[in-house]
Amino acid sequence: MGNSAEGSSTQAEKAPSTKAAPQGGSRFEAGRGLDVGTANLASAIQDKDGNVIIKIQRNAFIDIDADYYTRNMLTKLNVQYVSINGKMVVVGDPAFELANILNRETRRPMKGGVISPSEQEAMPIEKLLLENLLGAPNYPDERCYFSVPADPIDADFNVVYHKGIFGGMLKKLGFEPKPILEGHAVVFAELAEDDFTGIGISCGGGMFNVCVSYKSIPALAFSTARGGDWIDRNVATVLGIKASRATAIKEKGVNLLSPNNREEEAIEIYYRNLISYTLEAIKTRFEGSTGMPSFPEPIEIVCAGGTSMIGGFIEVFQDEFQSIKFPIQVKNIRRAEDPLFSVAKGCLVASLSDV
Amino acid sequence: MLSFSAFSPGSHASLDLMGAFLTRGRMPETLDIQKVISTSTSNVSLDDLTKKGFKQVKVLNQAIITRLISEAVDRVLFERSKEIGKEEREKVIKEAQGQFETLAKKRLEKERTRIDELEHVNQLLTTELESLKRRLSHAAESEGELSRNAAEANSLRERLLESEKRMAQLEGQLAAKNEEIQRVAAQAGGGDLATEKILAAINDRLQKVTQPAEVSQIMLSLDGLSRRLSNLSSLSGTSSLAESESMKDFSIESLFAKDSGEAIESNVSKVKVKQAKAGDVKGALAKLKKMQKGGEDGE
Repeated sequence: MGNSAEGSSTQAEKAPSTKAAPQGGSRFEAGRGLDVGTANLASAIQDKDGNVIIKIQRNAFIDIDADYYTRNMLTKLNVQYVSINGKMVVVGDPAFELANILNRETRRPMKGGVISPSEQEAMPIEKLLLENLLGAPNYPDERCYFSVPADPIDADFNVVYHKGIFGGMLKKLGFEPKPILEGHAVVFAELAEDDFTGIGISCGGGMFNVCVSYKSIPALAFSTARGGDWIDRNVATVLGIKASRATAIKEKGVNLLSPNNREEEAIEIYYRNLISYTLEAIKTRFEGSTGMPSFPEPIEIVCAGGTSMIGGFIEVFQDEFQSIKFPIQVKNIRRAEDPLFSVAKGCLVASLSDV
Repeated sequence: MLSFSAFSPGSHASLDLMGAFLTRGRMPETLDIQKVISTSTSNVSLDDLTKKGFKQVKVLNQAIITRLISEAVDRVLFERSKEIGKEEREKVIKEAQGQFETLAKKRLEKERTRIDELEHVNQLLTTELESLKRRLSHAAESEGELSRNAAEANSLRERLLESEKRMAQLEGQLAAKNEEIQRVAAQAGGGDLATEKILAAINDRLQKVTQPAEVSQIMLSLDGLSRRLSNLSSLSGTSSLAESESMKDFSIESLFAKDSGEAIESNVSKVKVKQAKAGDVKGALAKLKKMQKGGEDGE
């Protein structure tokens, strides 16, 4: 992990600019956070000065025809590749860019928030990516809290299987793996001011994860199998384009409050539908569940994740919120401080606080 | 019989014709003199003329008649133009302009109304189109989900049937082995300690061969498959822990089996990964630790 900020303990010792910490020879605190997202993988670590360092990698790849020359060029161009069983695959952001250039779809190790059943051969690649993001543990059996989705309310898939696979991979890398619900991680990262009481929503690529928390304890957690990818798929269908192209349009800087063309209008329509769907789901689950806490004070809703980063997201969320009779009093709806890193940060908080 | 077409410029028909030109205020585009002469004259034979006492007649050719008519028309128009004064001309112009503006206004209003109607219809059609697109998209999505679920259910049913067959075979083998053990035990007489130890070892080995590696896995798998099938049928949407655990065992093994079997070449570790500094978590961490210890905030 030559470029790893956290790196291994060996790497930390070799680097002259790093402040070598007396304990364990590392300048980092013991404990890692890992956001295992459908669209991105993100790791978080805290140094001894309290700085949080995030490493992020797009969770996608694409297979290409390549020869010796191409391999050398890919490394020179800072493009990650993996050659497995004679197949050459480009991983991360470049895969996404290549897919757009070649008018193809990227292949995704994960789909709908969990390991994709149709991409089993992607697992060795996923393991390499994790290894590159986390490096070796700085301490023996260093804890690594990794995000897992809550049980979905609108799909049938295996969260425990997914949990087991990633736990196994982390263990293999020398960490002590501990799963944490994605929505709960958002609560840890964003709702300290409210005593970790409120609703954390992780708006991811594969799904939306919701956690209603009271004093840091999850009272209700669930997920919906609709996320940014669902928007991309639908936009691609109605416009007759590839989903990767729809993602690129979405990420280039659309504002939901002022769509400028047919593509942006389609994105706005599906975003609004997704937000409304999520709010209805929270309402239904809250009303239908027993043992829900009665919050003495109005609570805060905080949205994190890459899908929440689009312009006008919070305004549309507030707009849709007004149109339903929500069962809990809400004082504020806001976007997370670092939407893309919020889950990784929440995992890190859980990891560092686990004594 | 020779006959003449007699035409007199002052005749009734020729005056009517000129009057018609003047009333309309313009000359017809073409004047068919031949036709005019033909309709304005009558044929009289020379004998009749002689009988009537005409000994000489004046003969005019067509060119002269045309010239005469043209001169007469010009003269009349010239005289008339003198009669229309400046004021009257301006009045006529003004009235004509007024009339034109009224007509133009009416026409414009009519066109505007038509445009409004068309825009309204267009808007309705656009809304309907959007609604249809949305419904189509939802329908396609639901259809896709249904077909995926159905395919998965079919696949799981097939696997369940195969597993049941395999289990029946293994149960048969297990029963045969048990019978063999009993038979050997009966032959040994059941009293010898050394024989009992040997039998126990054989039994233990048989159990190891059949139970954990095959039967127990298949049992777990069947449990899992049954649950998945029931989940699919009831559309409950959630999966159970036991089912997932059973599947996990197989998949983790298959995942890490790849480590030893496949040669992976990669430059992943040589390429720099995106790195960013995020807001600190010191506050959240301190608060959480305090709550965990049961401080004020946690109470």
